[in-house]
Amino acid sequence: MTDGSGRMRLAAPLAILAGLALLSGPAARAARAPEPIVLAMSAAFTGPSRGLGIELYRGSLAYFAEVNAHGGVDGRPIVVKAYDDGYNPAPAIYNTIKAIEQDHAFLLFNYVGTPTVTRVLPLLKRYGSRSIYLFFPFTGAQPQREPPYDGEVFNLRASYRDETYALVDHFASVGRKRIAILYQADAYGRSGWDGVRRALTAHRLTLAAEATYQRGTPYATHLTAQVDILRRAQPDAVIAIGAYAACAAFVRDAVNAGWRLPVANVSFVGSENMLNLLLGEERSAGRDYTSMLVNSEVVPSYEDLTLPAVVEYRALMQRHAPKAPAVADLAGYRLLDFNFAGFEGFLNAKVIVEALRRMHGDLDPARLKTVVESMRDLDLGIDAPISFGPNRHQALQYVYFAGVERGRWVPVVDWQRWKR
Amino acid sequence: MRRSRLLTRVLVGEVVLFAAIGLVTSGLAAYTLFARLTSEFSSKGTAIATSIANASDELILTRDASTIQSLVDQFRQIRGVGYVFVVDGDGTIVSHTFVPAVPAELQAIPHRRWTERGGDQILQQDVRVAGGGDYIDVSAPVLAGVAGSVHVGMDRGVIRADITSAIVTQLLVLVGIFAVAVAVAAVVVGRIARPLSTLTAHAHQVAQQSFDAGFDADEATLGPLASGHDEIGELARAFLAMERVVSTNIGRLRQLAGELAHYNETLEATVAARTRELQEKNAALQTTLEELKQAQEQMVRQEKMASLGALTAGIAHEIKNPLNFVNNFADLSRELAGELREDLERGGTALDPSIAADVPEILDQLQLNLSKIKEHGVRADGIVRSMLLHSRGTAGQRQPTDINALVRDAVNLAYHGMRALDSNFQIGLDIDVDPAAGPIDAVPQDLMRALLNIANNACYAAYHRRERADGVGRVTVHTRAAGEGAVEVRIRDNGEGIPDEVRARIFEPFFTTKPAGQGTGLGLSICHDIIVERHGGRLSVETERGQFTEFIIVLPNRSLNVH
Repeated sequence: MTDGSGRMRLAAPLAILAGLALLSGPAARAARAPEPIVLAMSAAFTGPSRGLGIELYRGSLAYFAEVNAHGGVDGRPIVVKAYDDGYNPAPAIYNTIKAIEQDHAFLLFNYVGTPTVTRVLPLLKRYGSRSIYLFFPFTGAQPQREPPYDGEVFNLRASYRDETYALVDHFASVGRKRIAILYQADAYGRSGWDGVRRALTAHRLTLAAEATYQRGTPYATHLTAQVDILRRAQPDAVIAIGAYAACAAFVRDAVNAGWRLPVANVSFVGSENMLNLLLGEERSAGRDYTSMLVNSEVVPSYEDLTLPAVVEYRALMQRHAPKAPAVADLAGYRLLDFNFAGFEGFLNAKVIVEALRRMHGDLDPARLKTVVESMRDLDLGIDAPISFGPNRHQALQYVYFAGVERGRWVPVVDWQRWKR
Repeated sequence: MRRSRLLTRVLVGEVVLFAAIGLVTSGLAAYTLFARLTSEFSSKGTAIATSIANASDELILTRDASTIQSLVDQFRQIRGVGYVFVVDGDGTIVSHTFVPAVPAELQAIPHRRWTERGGDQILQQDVRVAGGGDYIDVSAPVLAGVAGSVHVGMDRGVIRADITSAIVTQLLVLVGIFAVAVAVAAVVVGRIARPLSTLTAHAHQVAQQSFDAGFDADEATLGPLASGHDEIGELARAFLAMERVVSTNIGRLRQLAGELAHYNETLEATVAARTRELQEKNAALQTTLEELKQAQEQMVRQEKMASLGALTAGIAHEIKNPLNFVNNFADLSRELAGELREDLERGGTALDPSIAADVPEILDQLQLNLSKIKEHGVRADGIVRSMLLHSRGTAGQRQPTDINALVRDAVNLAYHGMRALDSNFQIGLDIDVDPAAGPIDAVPQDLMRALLNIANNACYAAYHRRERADGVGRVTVHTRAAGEGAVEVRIRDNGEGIPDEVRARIFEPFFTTKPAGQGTGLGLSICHDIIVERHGGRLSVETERGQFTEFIIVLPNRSLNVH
């Protein structure tokens, strides 16, 4: 990313010189290195949720590196410019404005988090004349999937509503109908809460109990108050809408309190980061913290090597070994090998590259929306062809489930395991 | 330095004043702030509730709950907002900001249908959450309550914190002002109190009548104060004036007291002197009494001597007649022996030659013996004569007297008298008489007595000088013609001499330096009487301590006093 930004700083004065010379763009451009295609990514690269931003970025970068290694798109390299918002709304807004106005980003890409994205959405309306679109935010919340912002956002992943419906359906199917919810006290948590509640309503059920936690809660914090609140309602299962640090802390405190029941997390949790925390706990405490976990994912398991995309993802990750962006805080953080977020970033990048290619060298932002909306039955290699359209900015609806076996996330094939 | 009581009072006053100000202003500020902030928070809560309510009707009805949650979260950031929650038309809380859960007290707030009460009024109520604080719950209806309501909890804890902070700040400022006021007061009061305490100290000194430092010193201390133009200056000047008067009066009193003390001392001295005089007179009387006793003893002794003298005269007179026979017959026998020698020379051939040869030798021996008898007889006669002369008293007649013989007799008599008393007596005696010193008209008995007295003293002094280096006592006697028939006699001894204090008194009656019983103390007194009074002569003494004593007697020839 440092390379990309350095090139950007160099490019601006050169462009001014070219303008003064009154020469045509292509002639001047041919004389020097091709101008990169800048994708702006504001995400959590610091703080308790930094793992999501870092791995999503690395997954995407694995694919972009491969593309750039083969000459980029129409001769132009793809550069992801990373901005850290620490999973907070205000920095996300400032980052976006900076990306658009100063860094001349071609599009917004891989944004992470519901509270951040929901606040950035109005900016897309403000910059509508510049045809700025947000591609594939790492959030399943509804606002970017509903009017008035559904036109400015393209979603690849399924929504939280999809995930929560699927979880509630499956729990109900195994007789677990008293569902309690732990959620982050913000738009993300509320989005998941809303999804669970709607799903329960569909089953003519209501929430057994609900508890919240503060966004940014680190793993060291005890969530025993939340455990107590939920446990009092004696639920059959808990659905957690949160980030990995807090959700792992909740599981830890529940198990420590002697309370064992299925705990489901949605895709945003960052399953591998969560698992690492709890495996660490298992090693030090010598007890099982992971067997009751059942997470919903919006991409297939990266362990499913029958999928060509998984094979490609793994190969490119190993080939390019992408680094975290310079803005990331890597203190005490160990980069993951393969993970759901990274695989999602990889798939996001794959769709973007396809879209850019379909612009055939004419990178006019105004054309971008039409080009993407014209994509039909694109095969990403996950056994789920995707399509966009003028009224369809949501590509996937599939929800996958993962459980922990021998310290790894593996696809859940039989829900009878959690039958009550 | 003594702490100023004035300063203390001013400080206490300031403390009380500032405490009162602090209490009153803090109370007032707290009350005002509480009223204002409560009102402010209420209207703030109303504004927030109203704006969320106005913005959220569509959101509640049509949108995902995360949208309104996002909205609610933004208002949660506003200061003083403790919580926000949104209730939908069914009474379900669809968005809230509580962690970990909505408190039971707030879940219990019943959802209202504002339409039933008419209008879109804002409701307020106080809510106390167990362990969660006090809130002003402001609720605003969404679509007149049909779509739900928005609740905003304004945190009273923030109001309290604001009030506390404001009052703490105010009190800190007040303490700062108080410190400045104390400093100012200390300076101002110090300017007043220091002169006052100086004056007070001086007043105390005056009260204790301590004028030791003197008025000038006081003036030096108070002078700077007295030069001031303020009340303290006037006070100092008045004080100095008063002190001047008091000082003058005290000085006069002291002078009088001094005089009185002087009189007392003088009186004592006078009394002491008188006492001393009386003591001296007593001592003198005592001495006189002792002298009288001595005189009485002397007189008794003299009486004994007088009777002894009479006895001696009688004995001497009786011895003189047989002595005359001895002397006369010694002469006669010597003449007879001479005649026998002449007869023998003329007719001695008739005798046996052996006898004739011895006779002249025997005659020579006989004549020699007779001469010896005559010589010693004359001498004895002289002694007896002297004794008679001495013991005959004052009854003597004036007659031409051979002074040289008289002197020789007197000295010899004294010498032999001494030897008679003490067998160890041994001194040298030189008598050198001037043949030109003719006979003078005198009473030989009296003169003899005087000379004997003086010679006695000389022998005594010379004898008692044996311990001197040369160890030889010596008495030297001269006579000399002194013109116009006068004769000078010098009797000198090499004795101890006479001390000056003694010399002045030697002619006083009864004065003696000899041990009691060895002298009458009348000797020199009588000598003076005899020589000066009766013979119109002069008697003087020359002496040197440790060397000599010489009595000089000058006797005129024909200037006899009429007796």
